[in-house]
Amino acid sequence: MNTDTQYLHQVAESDYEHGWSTEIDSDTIPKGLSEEVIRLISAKKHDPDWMLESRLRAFRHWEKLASDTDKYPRWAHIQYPNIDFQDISYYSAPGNKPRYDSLDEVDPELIKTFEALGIPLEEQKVLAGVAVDAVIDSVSVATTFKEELAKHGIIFCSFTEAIENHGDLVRKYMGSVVPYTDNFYAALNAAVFSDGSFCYIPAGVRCPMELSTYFRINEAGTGQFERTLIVAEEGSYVSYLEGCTAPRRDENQLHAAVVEIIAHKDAEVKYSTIQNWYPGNAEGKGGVYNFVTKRGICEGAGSKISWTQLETGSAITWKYPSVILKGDHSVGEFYSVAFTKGRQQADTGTKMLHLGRNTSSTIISKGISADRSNNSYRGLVRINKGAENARNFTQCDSMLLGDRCGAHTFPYLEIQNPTAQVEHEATTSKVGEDQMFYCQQRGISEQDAIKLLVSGFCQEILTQLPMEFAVEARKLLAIELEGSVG
Amino acid sequence: MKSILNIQGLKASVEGMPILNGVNLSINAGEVHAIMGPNGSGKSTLASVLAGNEDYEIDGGTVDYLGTDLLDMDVDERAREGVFLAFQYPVELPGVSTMNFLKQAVNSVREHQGLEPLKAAALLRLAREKAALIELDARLKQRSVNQGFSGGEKKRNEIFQLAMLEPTLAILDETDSGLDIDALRSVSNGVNQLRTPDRGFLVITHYQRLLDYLVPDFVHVMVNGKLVRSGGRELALELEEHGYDWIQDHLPE
Amino acid sequence: MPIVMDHRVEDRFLAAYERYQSMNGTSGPLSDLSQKAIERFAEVGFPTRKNESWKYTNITPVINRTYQIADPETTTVDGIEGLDAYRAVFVNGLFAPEHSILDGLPSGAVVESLHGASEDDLIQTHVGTYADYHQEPFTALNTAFLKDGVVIRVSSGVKLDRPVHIIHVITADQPILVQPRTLIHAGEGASIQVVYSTELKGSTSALINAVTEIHVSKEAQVEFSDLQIGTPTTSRVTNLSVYQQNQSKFQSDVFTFGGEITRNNLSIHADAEHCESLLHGLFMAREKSHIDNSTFVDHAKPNCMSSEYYKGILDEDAVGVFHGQVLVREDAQLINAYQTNRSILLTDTARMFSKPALEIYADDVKCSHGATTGQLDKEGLFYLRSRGIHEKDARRLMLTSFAGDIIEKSPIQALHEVIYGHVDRMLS
Repeated sequence: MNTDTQYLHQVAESDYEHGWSTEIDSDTIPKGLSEEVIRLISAKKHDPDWMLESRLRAFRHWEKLASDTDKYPRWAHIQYPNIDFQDISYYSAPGNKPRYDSLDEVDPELIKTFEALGIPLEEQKVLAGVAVDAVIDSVSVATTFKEELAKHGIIFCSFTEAIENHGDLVRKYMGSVVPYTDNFYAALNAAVFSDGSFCYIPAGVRCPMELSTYFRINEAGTGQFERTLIVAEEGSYVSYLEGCTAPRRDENQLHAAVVEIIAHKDAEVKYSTIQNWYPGNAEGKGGVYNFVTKRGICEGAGSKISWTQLETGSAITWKYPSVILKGDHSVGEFYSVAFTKGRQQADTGTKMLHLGRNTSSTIISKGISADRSNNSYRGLVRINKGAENARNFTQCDSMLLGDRCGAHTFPYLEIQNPTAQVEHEATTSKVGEDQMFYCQQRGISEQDAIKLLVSGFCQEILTQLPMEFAVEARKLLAIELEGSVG
Repeated sequence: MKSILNIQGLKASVEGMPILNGVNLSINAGEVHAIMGPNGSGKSTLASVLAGNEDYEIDGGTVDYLGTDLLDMDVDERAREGVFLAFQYPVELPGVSTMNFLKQAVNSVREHQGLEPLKAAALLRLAREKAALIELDARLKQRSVNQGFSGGEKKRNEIFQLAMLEPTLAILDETDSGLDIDALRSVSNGVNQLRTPDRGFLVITHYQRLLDYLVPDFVHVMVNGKLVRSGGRELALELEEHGYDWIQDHLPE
Repeated sequence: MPIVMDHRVEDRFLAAYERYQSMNGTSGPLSDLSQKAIERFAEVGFPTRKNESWKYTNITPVINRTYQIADPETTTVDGIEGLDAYRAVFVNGLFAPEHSILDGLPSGAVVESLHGASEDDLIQTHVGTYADYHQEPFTALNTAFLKDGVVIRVSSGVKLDRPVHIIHVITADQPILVQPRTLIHAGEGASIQVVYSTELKGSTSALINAVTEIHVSKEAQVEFSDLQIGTPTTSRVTNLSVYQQNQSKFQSDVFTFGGEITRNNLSIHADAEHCESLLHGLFMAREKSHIDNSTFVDHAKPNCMSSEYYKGILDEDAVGVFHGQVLVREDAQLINAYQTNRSILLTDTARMFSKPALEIYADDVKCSHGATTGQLDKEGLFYLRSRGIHEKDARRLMLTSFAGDIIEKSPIQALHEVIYGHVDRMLS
């Protein structure tokens, strides 16, 4: 057996590979949300005053939104009971000591966690050249390669450290792309977020390595609310990777993150995600509610923001990585594979908001639905009045594996400038019978043929991922398919 | 001589419409059989039925392949047992890389034969060798299976796969259609090199010209789902001269 | 100081309903339906932009005005030049036999007023069955005020030799609300073409709230052409609901030119196998005109085909909306559903909102949609000019052929020339 199939085999037996939890001491505050809780989180984080005020502003706004359950966001093509926001703990940190100065101080159980996750924290993996920030539950536990990056003037650290050491930058940019007023979960996040990653690339610097954050929810009954902020100064470049897992639990866990990207003139940010939160069991029990707001702004002329995602996890995914194309000649891209099985529900897509002249955007979305899952693409392309010569090309393809799942496409095209060229194409189909016959005539079994063809269907997206990540993505996809075909 | 295929009274229909009306045909190891016939006579249906296409209903008859009932096997089983169909219209597989596809196909067959799977390097070497044999542009191997290939490239790719999979029975369904004369010559040349004493060929064609390059041992003429005449190489030339009307006019009552 | 109470705009319609009922009596076969409809309307009220399906169309200014419901006056009818058709004329929503030409209808074909229709059973069974007043507030309003309308009945096997032309004449000197109602019932294997148009006399503003229900029986064929030439003071909401049975064929050709606000709802319920549904639309608007085409195709059973093709040309400050939704229900296998929307914006201030959605719960289907919005093709324009054609003429030529795609799909030849004429007027 080659290593690929061994890997498949192990995981097919365990269904959800990352479904363990780690036995480590943790500092978890009681469930519930109130102004006191916000103040408590803020105190634990040693927030400066401005940060506390910012949290309270967001909390008051959220309280207003949350006071009427009729007003909870319901527009997505997903179904779930109203979340009891008082039944969640909003802060959980591993160990008694919330911050670590070196890896030696980290609980060995935690290190095992990272090893199990395949996170390259130890020496040999460090040679792989990936700088990692890992966030467990709500707290950033380790950031590698900080010194190497510092030589280039690159700041890559936990959000907490950023607030402490780079307060001006955080104050300037946090909330500038996703203000707390943006939506229900953005407000909640702005009030309770406990950590996350911060990344700053100075002008003219091409980040010499991929930056990576791994997120994991570990503690039961907790939510995870992290923020990521990436600022790319003029002419800089960074490729940023994000991976997520959570233990298998019978109750639903809430993940409400915010990611903000600012790309200045001629800067380029490539943001890749492999999202593999626990999806719940086959009957739909448990799993993560993944309500995420991700948005970037192409602030300067000639800047570029590219989102690539492989979404296989979460009971519910509600996520629209977007780009505001403000600078002239700026470029926005969205490449996505969303795979749902069991009772998973995904409502995901993007928004491309064209403001500047000669801006262009590309959206390629591949949705695969299996079992009794529902998979929706929802995307907005808006060409504003002043956005002369804007271009958009959108392609959404859906594939259904089985006759009890759903595949849906909800595009919104809002064109307010006659020089726009906007093209949208979408198809829905199953694996082609003639293609299956062709593969099988060459001796390939039905199951393998389906896997081969589905991987082919996603190929266009997977090639957008950085090399190492692409390998991982392919494996993950193969594992997911293993459990849902045949 | 060792019998590879023995078809007796094979009848098949699609959506209630009979297409094959009792085909009898026997192929031995080392032989090349050609089936000719007018459009709609059922030639390609025979190829599809032998490969295991489930769109066709089997209404009667038997097909013995190396002593076992071919009709009892699924399409991929037949392929692993050594039945290869070079398609008339090879389908495109977007995003599926040719090498990955070949790896799965070759190793499925090898596993079935109790052989070790080929490692990537060995497979590459084999592919290079076989590609040279049929003058396949090396760049085609880098692309998705058949995607964006010209008609000729697709046909060449079929023969390339034939070479890679080394089947016992190779069925070529109108491999000549859509080929210009140079391509026809090089594809035929490739096929000729794949003729071995233990392999049988069933070549389906509308035109005689393929048989100039790929000289058959036997020629059969199919009309209305039956093989109505059989003969040697000269039968093809007769057909070329007189056309299919001639054979229809001279059918025995 | 007197205390002024804020009234919901709906309350004015509810009050009007009370007066309307006391004038027209509350008996009759449809009074029950009418009562339920007004209750539903009172419950849901008019749609606002918060309602997903009204996201791009703000109807509030139109419904905030005061309208009267007026009796018909003596008037004249223009008809459509060159169209050889049976003619059923309604003035302000009431059947006008003196203007109608229904002689020579083959036996088995009946065109009559809903009020005093010959077959109560048919009315009872079908009116209000396809147009869902639960879902659509405007349908609820129309159903509540249901007093008269047209019933077209074609018995099994009867194929009409000429189209039936329904003309709504609207005549008033005060702002007027007209709520036409139509029921078309095509029996098994029957075949009929219907042309539906509106004529506005006088310069006052009008709100037309039309509901049309079409039942297409097994193997029947119905073609429905809707030709609307709007004015800057007329707004129109239409709900066309079609119910298709086994092996039936339905085609709609919706041509909308101008108007203040137009909202065309078209819903197809393909409730049996082997149905074919073709939905074609052309919309052209200038000034501040707003045209919203909203379609819903519900594939409830397997082996059906639907194809949707809408094109729009938007000039000056006009706004176009296309909202197409295709639903393929569980087990409705082997569906082919296509949806295309192409629009051209001619000015910096014209806008187009397109929302072509697919909702699919069966795996063995072929569904696709495409949408494009842009300018006239520059290369084409250049090519024409390089042949010596003036830019103005070249543009007109290209836009006419863009529209022609849809026009030529209408099976009624006599309409082609008339519609090309309207296209030409819109472009000059």
